[in-house]
Amino acid sequence: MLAVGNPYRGDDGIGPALLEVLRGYSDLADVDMLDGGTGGLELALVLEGRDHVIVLDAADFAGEPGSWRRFTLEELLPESGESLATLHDAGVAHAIALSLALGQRPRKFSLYGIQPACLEPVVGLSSEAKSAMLEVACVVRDELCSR
Amino acid sequence: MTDVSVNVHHVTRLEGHGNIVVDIRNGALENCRFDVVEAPRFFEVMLRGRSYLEASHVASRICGICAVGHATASLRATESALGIEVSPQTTLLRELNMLGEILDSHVLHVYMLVAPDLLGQPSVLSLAKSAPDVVRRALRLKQLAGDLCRALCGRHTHPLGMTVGGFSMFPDSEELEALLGRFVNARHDVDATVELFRKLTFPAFDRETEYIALWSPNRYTFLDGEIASSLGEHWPLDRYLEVTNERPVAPATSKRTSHARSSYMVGALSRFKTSHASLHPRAAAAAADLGLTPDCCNPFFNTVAQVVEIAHAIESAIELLKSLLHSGVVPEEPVQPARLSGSGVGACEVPRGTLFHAYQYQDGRMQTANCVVPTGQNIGNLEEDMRAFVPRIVEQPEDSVRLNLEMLARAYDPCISCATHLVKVRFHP
Repeated sequence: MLAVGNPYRGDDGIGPALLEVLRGYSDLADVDMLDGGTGGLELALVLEGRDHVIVLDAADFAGEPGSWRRFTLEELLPESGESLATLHDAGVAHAIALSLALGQRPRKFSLYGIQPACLEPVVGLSSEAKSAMLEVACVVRDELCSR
Repeated sequence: MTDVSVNVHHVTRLEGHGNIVVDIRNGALENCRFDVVEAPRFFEVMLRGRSYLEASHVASRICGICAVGHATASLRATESALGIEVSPQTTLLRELNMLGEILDSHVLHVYMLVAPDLLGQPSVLSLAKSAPDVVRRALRLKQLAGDLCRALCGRHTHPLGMTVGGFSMFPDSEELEALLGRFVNARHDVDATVELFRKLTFPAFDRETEYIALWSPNRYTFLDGEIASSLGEHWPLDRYLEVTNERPVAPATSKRTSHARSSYMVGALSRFKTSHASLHPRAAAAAADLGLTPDCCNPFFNTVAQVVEIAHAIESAIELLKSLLHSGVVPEEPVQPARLSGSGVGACEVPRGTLFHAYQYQDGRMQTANCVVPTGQNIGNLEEDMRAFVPRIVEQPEDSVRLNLEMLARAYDPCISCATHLVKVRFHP
């Protein structure tokens, strides 16, 4: 399980915050949980050899703040035209694309994306993001327990 | 002769806003510019009024790739201004930290930006498919560099653990032992890197210029030292303005620097030319393998010099880690200022070249700040290279002209090197 996001930019920190909640579930004790920070191409190495990958992140899919969506691997990949045009700013989608290019494809993959309400330079989540946390945590736990 | 017009759109990216303009009409070069709107100007204003304790944390935000370098140059400027002599351990930890940054940035540049060009791949993604071991090696080396910086200062991008007068965190011996083992193993990756680049062919293009870098008598320095020119002169850091001579040049929006000639170059090739005698023997052997000699004046070989510096960074890191493990890292309180008013200059060799920070403090608050960054110093030289290079390639096929121009800009590893993919070339009948 890989969380991505910057806790100092409001709801961008939803991924790491969710990870902390999920760390508390004893039935997920055998899951590797990693806070990937703001990511980078090196995350491709973290994804190597994984059977089941779950990514937790804030995502702008034009939804209501606090709503969430589950994305498949194919939905995440960057448009081919913009593939790594800016390596200095490579994010988790680029790392995943690089991991696939290296021949790695997990048997199961989900990215849980939560629509942020606030990405300002503040610490702490908005009430909308907080209200999504428990529901997403339960869904993620269900996905893992049905492995 | 073909008319050529090259334009790179204004790129509104974190790492730099730039325009490339090349126009050839009826065989005559009408325009040849590389304009960069530099962010550091705004940072110099932002630094004013700040406490001396905050300056390095603000300065590191100038660049996400060279964050350790900006923080270190800033700390050295503050320490010089306020009469702070840091401990030998602090200097050693900072040197090691700089090696991590050099390794991280050089691997990014040589593997992810340059190698695809030379291997005929449009991007690192396609390179990953055709040569996964090459990309895995690059990621491994980058990860190692990041982990080194993380152990020394909390994180590579915008380091937290470096402060005026010393460090606020210290690695334990277990971390250092583990890193030492990984750096020793990385020698295999260095050998493979040298082998890969030994087989690649760089465009043949020589143009002699002046090469400027920091220099120290007995070491290949990335931190402190004197300013040296390939023409033989040396200056103490506080005379940096006599070397950089920054000035605005119409119609470009960015400043230009020059010293003895109309432009000069900074970066790995300049460091190699001025300090090759101090390279680690394994790095010197790599240079010989790669055909890099001190008389080289092909700017494309800046990338080759970076490969040599990758070898040097690994070997130097091994030596420094052994030294730290031998002496043991002792938690030290940061050295306090001897005074709160004064001025000083700090300098580092960051991946792209010489970086100067010059500060003036009054009662612990910043009065003025001046930052001279490597890409800014290289612009004039890149333009002169373009002026000399374009006429030589203009009769080549269109794709080749476009690729060659992108590669020349990329060889300097400018902050907007990634964005040179956006080069637009128009060929007029």
